[in-house]
Amino acid sequence: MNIMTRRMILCSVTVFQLVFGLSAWCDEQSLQAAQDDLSDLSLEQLMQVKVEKVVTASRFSQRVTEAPASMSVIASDDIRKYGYRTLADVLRSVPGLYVSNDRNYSYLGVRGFSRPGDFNSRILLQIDGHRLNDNIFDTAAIGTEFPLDIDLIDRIEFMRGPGSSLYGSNAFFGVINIITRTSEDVKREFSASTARYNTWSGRASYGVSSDSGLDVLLSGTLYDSSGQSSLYFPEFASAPGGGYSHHSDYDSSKSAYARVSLSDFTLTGLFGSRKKGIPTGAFGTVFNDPDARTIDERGYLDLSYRKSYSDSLEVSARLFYDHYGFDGVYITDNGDSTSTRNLDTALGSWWGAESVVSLKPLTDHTLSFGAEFRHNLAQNQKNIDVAPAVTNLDDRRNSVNWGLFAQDEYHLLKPLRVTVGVRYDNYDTFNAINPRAGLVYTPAETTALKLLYGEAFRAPNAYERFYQDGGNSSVGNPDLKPEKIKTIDVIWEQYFLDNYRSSLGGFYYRVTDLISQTTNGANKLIYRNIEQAEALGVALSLEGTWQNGSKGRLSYNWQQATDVNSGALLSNSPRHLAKANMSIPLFRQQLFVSPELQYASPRLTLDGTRTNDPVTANLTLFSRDLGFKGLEASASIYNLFNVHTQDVAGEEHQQQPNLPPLLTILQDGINFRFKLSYRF
Amino acid sequence: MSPLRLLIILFLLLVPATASVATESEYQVKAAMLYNFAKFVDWPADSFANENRITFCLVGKSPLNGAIQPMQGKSLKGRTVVIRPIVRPDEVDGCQILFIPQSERARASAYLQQSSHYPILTVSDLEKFTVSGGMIGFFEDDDKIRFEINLEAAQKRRLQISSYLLNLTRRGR
Repeated sequence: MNIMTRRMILCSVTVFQLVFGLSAWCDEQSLQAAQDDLSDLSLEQLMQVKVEKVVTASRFSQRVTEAPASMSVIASDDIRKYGYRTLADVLRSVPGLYVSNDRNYSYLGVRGFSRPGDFNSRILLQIDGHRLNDNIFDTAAIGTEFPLDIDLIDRIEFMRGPGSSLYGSNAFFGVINIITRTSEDVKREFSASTARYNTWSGRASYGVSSDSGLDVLLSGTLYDSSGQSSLYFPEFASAPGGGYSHHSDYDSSKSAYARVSLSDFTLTGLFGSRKKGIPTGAFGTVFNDPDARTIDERGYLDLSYRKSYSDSLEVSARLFYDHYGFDGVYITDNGDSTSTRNLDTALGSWWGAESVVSLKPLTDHTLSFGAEFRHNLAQNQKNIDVAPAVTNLDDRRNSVNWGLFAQDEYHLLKPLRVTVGVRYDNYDTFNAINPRAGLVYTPAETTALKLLYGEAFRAPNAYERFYQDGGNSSVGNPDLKPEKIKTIDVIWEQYFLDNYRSSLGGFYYRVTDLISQTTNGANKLIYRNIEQAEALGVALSLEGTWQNGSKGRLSYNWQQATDVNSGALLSNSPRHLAKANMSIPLFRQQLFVSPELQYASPRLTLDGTRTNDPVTANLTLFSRDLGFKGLEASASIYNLFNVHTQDVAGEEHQQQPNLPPLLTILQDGINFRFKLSYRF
Repeated sequence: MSPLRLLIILFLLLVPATASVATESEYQVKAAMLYNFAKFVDWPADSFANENRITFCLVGKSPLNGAIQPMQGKSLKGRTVVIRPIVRPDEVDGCQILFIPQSERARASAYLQQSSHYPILTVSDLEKFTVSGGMIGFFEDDDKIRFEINLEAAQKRRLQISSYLLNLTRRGR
């Protein structure tokens, strides 16, 4: 840790102390208000309060301490107080996670694993249980490409570790389940925000719940950002223009969400489209050509049914249709001062059905059974040069996959729960069987000890198997096998002194048949199951809630992820992660100040050099019902210390014909956002 | 000084000295509901030994003990709220409301037995509480706290439960 970082830490201590001083002065008011908070509510209002539960660990609702998994839950309250702009911002604050951004997509690292250029295919992302990973790239979109406005999120459940025994493919390192807000919670809501670099966003939402049981929620969002008007890449200093990329970091998106519920049925429709400029010259595109851009489109229709027939039987079923579209315009640099306009597109569409039944035949067994079926109508990839017109790739596929799972949670003894489960998945070229076993011991209501074992797999996707550009630079590999992971977790969760919740955990995992991009005999890029990785890690976190309404969390993660064959540390894997969050009410429960600090130790680039390791600090001032009922206002400063984090770049940033490779991508400096929201 | 140590220190510095408050929001909701129940129940005139107090007795140790502390000293229908933790069934004399947490499952029937001699509103979140003679039982439905009432048990002890409270038990299902 160098002197700059030390200075930043001292700076943040001062910030924290100032904030604390201010909060102590306002303590009296907040104290009374917090106590009044719940006891002043009428019984009807109290009956509407949702208590903290999770559904992702076993696919039925249970207490966090009893869930056979390591979970983190982030509520909408935290999203507002900390000023999180995207799902990526939220995940950056979660203990043990880290996010890299290459100015096109955001990549999530879990347990020390983050492959530059992989579209988060090893994380399962769901919205209300609906799988979001597409059928071409398996993308778990977490940046501005995420198709739901995060203002519509009620809470985010993140389950660490393998989840294939319940969810099938992609639940490799974790499962993120986004649970949306109810229409009674949204009512009529308008929201607008503005940030640096000419960034604007607006949303209108309408939610109504009638006595007849008809529930409707509609929402639309627009977002537009010009991005920095000029970005400097020192590695490209020899390029014409001196390494500057102008007006290429633009980002704009639009999304719509609609949901209708009647009795036990819910019909949901979602659509989002995002356009992003590529300022980095990725994929060998001409550097500083603002025309290079990608458009990602994601939409779905989902009809779901959920009913509890009695205390001991719950049935849920789902029918869905999904669409994914990718449209990339790449101005390929031919290396001889000519360029070729290249259009790279993909279309995915699929439909499917799934059903989960939870039953309690005997008082101490909770059984879950599930079946899932998916028919991929289209998994099409196309790549053409515009002039002269050449079709490099026109690949069309369709496939079917299905899975069955069973799980039993046996409440063996009063303080001991044993969970065993297994899932069978059938794909066109392979089958997968993934079991899980867990022991949860709760000797007291305040203590939980968990010993967990799980296996998970990731099916090779259409992109890895079939993408090729006519032999220019890459070829496909249809014979790819699935990747496999085996994980052991030991966790101790403890509530103490009535205010604190601590968690100490250790994990070990081993990945085999890891799909990696390499070059074949003809020096073309190809995906192969060539690597094996393993990692050991320790996670420590401490959370506190205080009487005046303050909340805080401190976390530290140590992990060592290595390549089994070479023993070398994996690229883009930090050894240490440390985060601190604090939210303090300044005036009753209406004004909050929430600082946040994040640190990741240096990561290795693809060439083995190390990135820097600055401390990032964010600060948000949030008000609710202050002055006007229904008005929420926030002012946020991101990257308060104006550090320039280096995120590891991928293979696609090393393809410039006449320029050196881009090993790291410098992130934005200090940024701000003002946001207003009005509900009535 | 290592940054980690610094972060830990500053985190602890920000902890205001505090009386215990439960972090489980489930118990905060139950505590608030318990406090509210007392507003809609009428005790027979002779059941208050001390005219000025209304006593909530909490059996054993549970997260509700901390969650209900803020109600201590508040005024409820002209009387001051007193919170009293108890550890033996024979201590129920003098209580107006008795809360039996899930952790006291083994001794619940002993407490109900003792309470049947006095006009005490018995409340719990144990399963099938109202079936075994308890008056108000908490349960969870769709992540929200609900309650059911055994009116007969209350009437046997001459406790009058307002129709407002009874109506709430029929909603939300």
